[in-house]
Amino acid sequence: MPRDKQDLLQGTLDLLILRILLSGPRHGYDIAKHIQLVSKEVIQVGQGSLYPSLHRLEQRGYIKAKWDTSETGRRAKFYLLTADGKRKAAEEESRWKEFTGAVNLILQKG
Amino acid sequence: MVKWDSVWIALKSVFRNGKVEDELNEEVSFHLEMQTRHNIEKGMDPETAKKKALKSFGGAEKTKEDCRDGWGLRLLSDTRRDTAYGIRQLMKDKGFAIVSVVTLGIGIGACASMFSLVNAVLLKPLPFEDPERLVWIQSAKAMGLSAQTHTVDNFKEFRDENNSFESMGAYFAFFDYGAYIHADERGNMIARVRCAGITEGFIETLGIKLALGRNFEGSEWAFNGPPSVILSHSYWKSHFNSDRGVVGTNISINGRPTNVVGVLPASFDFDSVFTPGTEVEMLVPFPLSEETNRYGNTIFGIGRLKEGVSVEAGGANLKLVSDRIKERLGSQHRRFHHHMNTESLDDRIRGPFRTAFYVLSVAVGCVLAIACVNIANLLIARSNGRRKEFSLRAALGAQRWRLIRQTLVESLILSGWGLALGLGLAYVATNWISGLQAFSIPMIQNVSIDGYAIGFVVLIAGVTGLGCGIFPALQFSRSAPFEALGDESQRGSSGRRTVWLRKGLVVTEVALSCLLLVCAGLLIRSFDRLLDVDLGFEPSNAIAWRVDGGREFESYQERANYYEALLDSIEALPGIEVAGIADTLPLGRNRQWGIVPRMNDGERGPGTGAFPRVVNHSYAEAMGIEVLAGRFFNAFETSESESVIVLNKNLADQLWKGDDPLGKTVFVNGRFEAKVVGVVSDVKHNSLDAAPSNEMYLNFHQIGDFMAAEMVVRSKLSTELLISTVRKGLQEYTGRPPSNEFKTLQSLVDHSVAPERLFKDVLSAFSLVALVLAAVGLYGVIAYSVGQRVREIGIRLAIGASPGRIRSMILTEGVWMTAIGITIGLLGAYGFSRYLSGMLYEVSTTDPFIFALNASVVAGIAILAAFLPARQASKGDPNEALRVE
Repeated sequence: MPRDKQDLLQGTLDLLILRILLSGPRHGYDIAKHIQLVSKEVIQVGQGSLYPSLHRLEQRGYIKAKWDTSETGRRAKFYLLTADGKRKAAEEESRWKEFTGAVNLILQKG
Repeated sequence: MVKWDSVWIALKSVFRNGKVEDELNEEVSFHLEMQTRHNIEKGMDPETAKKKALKSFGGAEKTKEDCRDGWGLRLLSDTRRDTAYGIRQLMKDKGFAIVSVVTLGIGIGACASMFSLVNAVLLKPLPFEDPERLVWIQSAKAMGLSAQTHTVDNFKEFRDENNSFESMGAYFAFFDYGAYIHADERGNMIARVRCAGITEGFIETLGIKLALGRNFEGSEWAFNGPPSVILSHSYWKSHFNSDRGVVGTNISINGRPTNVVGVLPASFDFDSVFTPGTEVEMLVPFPLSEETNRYGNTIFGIGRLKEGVSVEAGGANLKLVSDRIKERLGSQHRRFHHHMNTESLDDRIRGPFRTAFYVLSVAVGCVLAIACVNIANLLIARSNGRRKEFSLRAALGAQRWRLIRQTLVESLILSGWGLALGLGLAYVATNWISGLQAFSIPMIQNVSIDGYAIGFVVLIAGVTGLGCGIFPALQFSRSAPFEALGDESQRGSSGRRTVWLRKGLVVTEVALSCLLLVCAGLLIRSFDRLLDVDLGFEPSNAIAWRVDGGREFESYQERANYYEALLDSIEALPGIEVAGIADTLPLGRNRQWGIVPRMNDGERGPGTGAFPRVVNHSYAEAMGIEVLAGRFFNAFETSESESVIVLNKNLADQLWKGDDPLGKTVFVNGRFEAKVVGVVSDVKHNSLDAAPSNEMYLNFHQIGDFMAAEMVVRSKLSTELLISTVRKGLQEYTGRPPSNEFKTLQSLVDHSVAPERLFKDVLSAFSLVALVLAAVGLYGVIAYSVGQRVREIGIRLAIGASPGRIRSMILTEGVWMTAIGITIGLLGAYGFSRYLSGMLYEVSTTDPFIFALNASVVAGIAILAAFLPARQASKGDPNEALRVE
């Protein structure tokens, strides 16, 4: 099974996590699956980068964790956005759009 | 912006690391479980599903590690692991660990003790308010106290006529002459105490807050005012059981009910600051009156400068006042006015000890440096032995930084253990030092391991640990794993650079120990010279016993007769040769009186000052003072007979410049005339290293100025027997148990050289430790290099080299290192020894004999240390040697 089909740009994973958590609390596995699903399997996040990224975001105060019962009835660690995180998500999103817009411009007119 | 959440997580993880780890484990296993479940749903069998999940997760441990990185905790957990690993490694080699810890413990302990000593004696501010504004005010910078002190009237003029000082106070310098007996209600003596007289303004000027009670006040300051005392904190503790109720009550001093008005604070011991080595139990008021002015020069002044005035400016101001007094007095009364000398109180008290203590600090630093070098050497040797282990770890992907850290952690563990041991040693040492009453070093009783000392040694231990570990650690940063692995498989010898590094370290050790040994040698020689000094009296086979009449005498004649009879009864005891009496013993108190000769033409010649000793006729014989011309006093002289005086050689020579002094007349202290009947040898009255001074002897039948009685008894009996004999004699004669205030004359000498002895002993001990450590270091390096060269030596032996050749080959290596080390050490000593000049007596700081002697001692020890492994190498069996590996 090929790992990341697309190498994520530095920092992009953080944006994806924040964006996904906007819709509500999710646990790590859920986030990974969600990315895979929505990106139509183009982006696969290795757990080796997902969890460190989650912990980093938690450390910086953009997300926080709480233990809750998962859909299978087992205890799982759910992540949810903090107020800071919501602001950060919006910020990162507009920055990303600006960036990809610029890249697209070059690709079209280059 | 502080992210409190993140701080919280970090804290939580530090204190509850286990919990955070558990949560991480659970999170990861949850993920794996979900993945497995998903795989099963896709139709895999459970076993494969699990395997697949694990595989896709991609290294659970690595992920966990990366997560910990996210917490900023990686360092912490790594360090914890390194520490555990380091301790395991050290425990594997217990011998190495013990040697290292003991070496470091001694080094660190010596450093900690020295720091506490320097801190207490030199660095801590004096126990007064704003001590930097306090100024010491004395007259001449001369030997005798009388020349150093001022009169009461002059002091009052200094105090009132200056405009630089906020306030001034003074104390009576001759308090030690007075006899004060603290007795219980029934009149039995509790203790003989020293009461230092302080003047109005003394306590206020120093800014001392009494622990209990109040300062003297009102009529207590007047001459013959109501008797009152302030107790020293330690006397209050030891003799009044720290009873707060004692303030305001009366105690019996010299038979008079005396009011205890206050207790000094624990932070201020009068003696530890002003008269170290001479305990002062109580303070009494010293009146600034007509009567005390007539005592002459008797007081030392202390002034508090106004805000912003420098010590120099204050001194210059007082000098003006002093010059005015001098002008007004003219040539008359010149003797009551000498000079004006001021310095900061801090310099006065600590100045004389600065150099000595800084020299000792440097020495202790050298010892610690040598200890470090030794540990570094051992660690390098060890790390060479562990090259394979480290290379393997490097090849398996351990980061170089991790390996360096591992070494540093190990050396820090060693220094941490050394720290624990060192602190224990320092605690014992400082306890011992602070108990030394005998030392005339200020504030030495306050020496203790306090927060500063602990902070300092922790720092030292940290630096030591890093310093020891840095050399072996740096090696790893250089060695590429393959090189090292290859190296190991070839011959197991260490790299060229390592060898040079280790040799350099050993050369440093030899140099430092040579430097220390030379300095210690100079001090030892100086001390020997000091002890060889002609004392002018015979210190062996004699004891001195402080005695008193136990009552007030009608007259000094009656007192003299009482003591003469006492001496007769003591002399009558079996085994006693002779007993004499004096008001003060040599190497203790001193005062000075004027003496003016009558010249042949009947006119008064130029006078001078001399130490007066009021004695009985047998004193010279009891002390072993040699009569050079004429005679000493005799038993027939009384207050009725002609007034006579005996001079020492120095004084006689000064007054008559070679003319026969016998039969000449002198005026003493401006009060009376006396005929010179004899000349005696010069006695060291101040200190052993002082030049001969003027001394005169007066007969206690003829002069009333006799404040205390020291009986000197000479006998061939053993000291113990002599003491018990005299004790019994005194008991029989006086009918009451005698005091325990006796000492051998030798102990007077010992006491007077105690600081010199301390410096000499400490420096000698340091230099011996340094020498031993250096020898061990040299031995280690050579033995190690022999070990590395077993095969080479085997081959050499096999192809016919003689054992002697092998021996000299190995020995040459040691000789070279020693020679270079000694050369550097001698050069260092040549440069450094000048700082000793103030501590040396009749020894040049570059005494060639001492330099040569100590260099050869170092050379001898070093070559012995090199010889042992050399001999072992040459004795090796070539077959055995070749079979190694």
